[in-house]
Parts: sequence; structure tokens; C-alpha cells
Amino acid sequence: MLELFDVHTSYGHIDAVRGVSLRIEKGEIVTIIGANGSGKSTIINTVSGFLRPKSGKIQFLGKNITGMNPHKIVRLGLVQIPEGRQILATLSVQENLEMGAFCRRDGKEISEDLERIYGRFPVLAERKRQATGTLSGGEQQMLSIGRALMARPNLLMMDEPSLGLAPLILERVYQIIEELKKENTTILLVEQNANKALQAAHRGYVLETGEIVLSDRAENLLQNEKVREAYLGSQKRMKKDSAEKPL
Amino acid sequence: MFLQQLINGLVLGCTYSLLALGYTLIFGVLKILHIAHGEVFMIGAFLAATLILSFQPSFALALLASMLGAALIGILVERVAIRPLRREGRPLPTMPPLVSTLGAIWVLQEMVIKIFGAEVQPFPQLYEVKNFSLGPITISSSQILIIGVSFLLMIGLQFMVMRTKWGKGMRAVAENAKTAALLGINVNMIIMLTFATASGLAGAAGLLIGMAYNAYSPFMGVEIGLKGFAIIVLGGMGNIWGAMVGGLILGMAEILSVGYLASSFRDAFAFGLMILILLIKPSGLFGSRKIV
Repeated sequence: MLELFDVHTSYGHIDAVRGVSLRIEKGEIVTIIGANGSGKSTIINTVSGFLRPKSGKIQFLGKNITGMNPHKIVRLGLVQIPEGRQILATLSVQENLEMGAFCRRDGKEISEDLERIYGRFPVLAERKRQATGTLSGGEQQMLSIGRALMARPNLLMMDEPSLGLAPLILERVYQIIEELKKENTTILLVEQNANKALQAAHRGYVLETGEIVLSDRAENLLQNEKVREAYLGSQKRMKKDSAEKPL
Repeated sequence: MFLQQLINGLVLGCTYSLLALGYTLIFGVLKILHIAHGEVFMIGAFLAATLILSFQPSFALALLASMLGAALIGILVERVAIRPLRREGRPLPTMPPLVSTLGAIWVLQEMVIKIFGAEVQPFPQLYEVKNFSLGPITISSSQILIIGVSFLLMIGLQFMVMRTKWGKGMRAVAENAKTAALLGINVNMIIMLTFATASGLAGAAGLLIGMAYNAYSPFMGVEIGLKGFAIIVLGGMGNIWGAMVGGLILGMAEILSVGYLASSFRDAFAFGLMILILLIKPSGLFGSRKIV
């Protein structure tokens, strides 16, 4: 469904992504794990068109989307849930959700989807008309997910969905990812919280300083010595990551 | 007498509001000052006058044509003077657009002077102006038209921004262009739409002011442009309500100072009042940067 071929992206002279190739099939949840600054978000932003790759090719649904405008990429159904949620604070909850469906023209089905999202996230239904600035971090994350679903994505890219969330809300976010998994949603999940991400995903890639150093089925990566040591095991790193307990 | 002054203030004020709304829309979405906006207004007046002189159209048609014409000029200014300065994914710098729209002032003025000459000309009459007397006050048919049309346009704008899909898209881009793009919103399209809307309102104001003062000239946009800018500072930069109310306040203040103080102090008094308000509330009456 989505395929990257030898993608290089740089900020000025700094090569943040160096020859990354990966692919995601329909219905798969694939995660990219890696430390802060390893280039995870750069990959996401390159795929969604905010950064132009220096070289390489990105293909989505058989179409070459390298260097395409961000809004056109969204129109193809490649939708991002950005890091830090990026809720539009001056718009109401409902307006945020409506903006998620901005490129759709099927008015009737949009309102049906809206009801479905409210069914899934009752908190949002209660606050339909409220300005989103008043929402808690967790509610904002729900809104951000709901808004992306309003686009009827073919592939959902989640950039650090657990970042800055309290443990309880983090559980809820991963519960939603499990639900989406059952509905056969295709997801590219980028996470620092490797433990959580690998438990949710089918396959994973390990990114180090802009290069993929390892790729395998998620359960194998969870058992992999190197991965456990670098991303799951050590107490020091865990503290920085989140409230997650080591394995 | 006082009531009469209020009516006159209202007429002037709501045309100021129309102009200030354009500034505030553009500032809200792009965070820049489009200082050639007064020239777009001036071109609106010229388009209307030319049209009236050659076809004697109905008021509605003249209004529509001046709005559409000004909208096209606004889109052109954005394409030529602002879009080339924007870089994908980066906020627009402050100074370069200021300079390029400053340049647009002269380009547009010179263009109009080349075609129509530099003199002040009498604005052609669309129809016989009638005066209505209601007790102590007299109101002319064109004053009624000006107030009515201005308020309709303001209500229409409010509806568009708050209720329509494209208006919500405008507010989304105003808050965060990157997030808007992530949602599949074509940011360039929204910016174009913003310029078209803002300039269309300026075009309408051009026709209305021309009618109200029976005069138009290539330099009519300069002073009123500065006033439009002052109004959005007063009302709160990028705030729609601020622009509407601020325009009315400035119009009233000017007329009342002419009526009760001295006409030569008109602008001094009006701007003095604005400075006073800003001293008390530095972010403007309605606060800044929210298109709501």
C-alpha cells in the first residue's frame, strides 16, 4: 500500500533520513521505533509531503507521491495524526471533526461518520460546541484521532500518539489502536514508546540515526536482545520515555 | 442634531468597517499587513464609476461588478506580491510582504492615473437621490443604501466565516496553516479566497464611499487605507468583530468631532480616541488574532 524506496531527507546539511526503504500492506499495523532524534518524524513528514526528499521514491496505492503537495496526499487517503495532536483551538469540537472531512464531498455520509465518531468517543459528543482549548490532553488526543478518521483514511500515520499522555490515557489510546486493528485499518505507528508500539503492531522497523538497522515481526523484535537492551530494558531510558514499566 | 450626526457617523463608520474587515481577514490568515488594500478599494470605486458612466447599470449590478473586479485585483496582488515570498511549511516573514505591498500601492495608483488621470472626479449618479425627513433628521436614499448594503455584507461575511465549509477552512488556516494542510485543506486556495473576499468587500466600500461623497480619485485609498489599518489595531488584529465595531467607532468619532468640535481636528480627535482606547486595552477592543 505504502512503499518507500531508498528515501533520503535532509535539513540543510544534516541528513536526518538516510536511505530508508519500507513498506506497509493493507490491513497491517507497522511501527517505526527509535530514540528521540533518530529521524522518525522526518520520515512521517516526508511521506505526508511537508518535507521534500533529497532522493528516493514514495509510492502510495501505486501512485508516486514523492514531493506532492500535503493536501493532495491527504486527498489520496494518507492521513496523519500529528505529534502533539495539533487541535485547532479556535474551532469547536464539531468544527474540528468537520475539518477532518474537508476533502470529502459526500455530505450525508459525513454526518453519519460524525455520529459514528461521537459514538466511539462519547466525551467528544458531550462537548460538541465547546471550544477545543478547554479539552484535556486525553480528550484532545481522542479528537485528533476522531478528526483523522473523519477523512476515511486508507492509511493512518500516527506520530508519537503516547507523547505527554498520562498512563491511563495512554492505555485508552492503545485500546483504540487495537480496535482499529480489528477493523483492518492500515496504520503506520511512529513511537518512542517501543514496548507499547510493538505490542500493538504486526511488524516493526528499528531506526537509528536515520537508517533502518533492523526489521522483523513485532513479536520477534520484542524478544530481540538488542532491541530489549536499547529500547525496552534499561531503567534510565524508560524514565525518559513514559510511565511504562520495563518488560 | 445629535441624531443626525449619529446617522452620518453610521454611514461613514460602516464603510470603514467594510474596509477594515479586509485588513483583518488578511492579517488573520497570513499575519501580514496588506497595505495596498486601500488601493484595491480605490480601484473598486473606479470600476464602479466607469461602469456607471458607460452602461447605467442597476445598483445591484454595479455593486456586484465592483466587488468581482476588486476581488480579481486582490487575487492578482496576492499572486504577484505575496505568494512568491511564501515558502512551503514556513511562516511568512513580516518585512518583505510589507515592502512588496507598499510597492503594489504605487503600481496600482500609477496604473489608474495612466488610464483615468490624476484629478478628483465627480462620482456619476446611479439614480436620483431622494431625501427623507423623519422629524429632525434627514436621511438620503443613498445613505440608507450604504447602511443597508454594509450591514448585509457584514452579516454575509460572518455567516460565511462561521458556518460554511470554506469559512471554517479559513479559520483553520488562520490558526495553523500546517495543521490545515494536514487535514487536506488547500492552503493556497484558502489564501486566494481570503484575498478575494477581503478585496470584494473593499470594492463594495469603494462604490459606497464614491456614492456618499460624490467624488473619486486615484489617491482616495491612501488615507482610508491608513484608517483601516488603525481600525484593526483598535479592534484587535485579525478579529472580525473588532473590525466591524472599530470602524463604527472611528466613523462616529470623526463625524461627532466635526459636528461639535472643529472640522480641522477631525482626524486628530478620532486618532486621539483610538490612542486612548489602546492605552487602556493594548491588545485592542476584542483581543488579537482570532477570526471569531
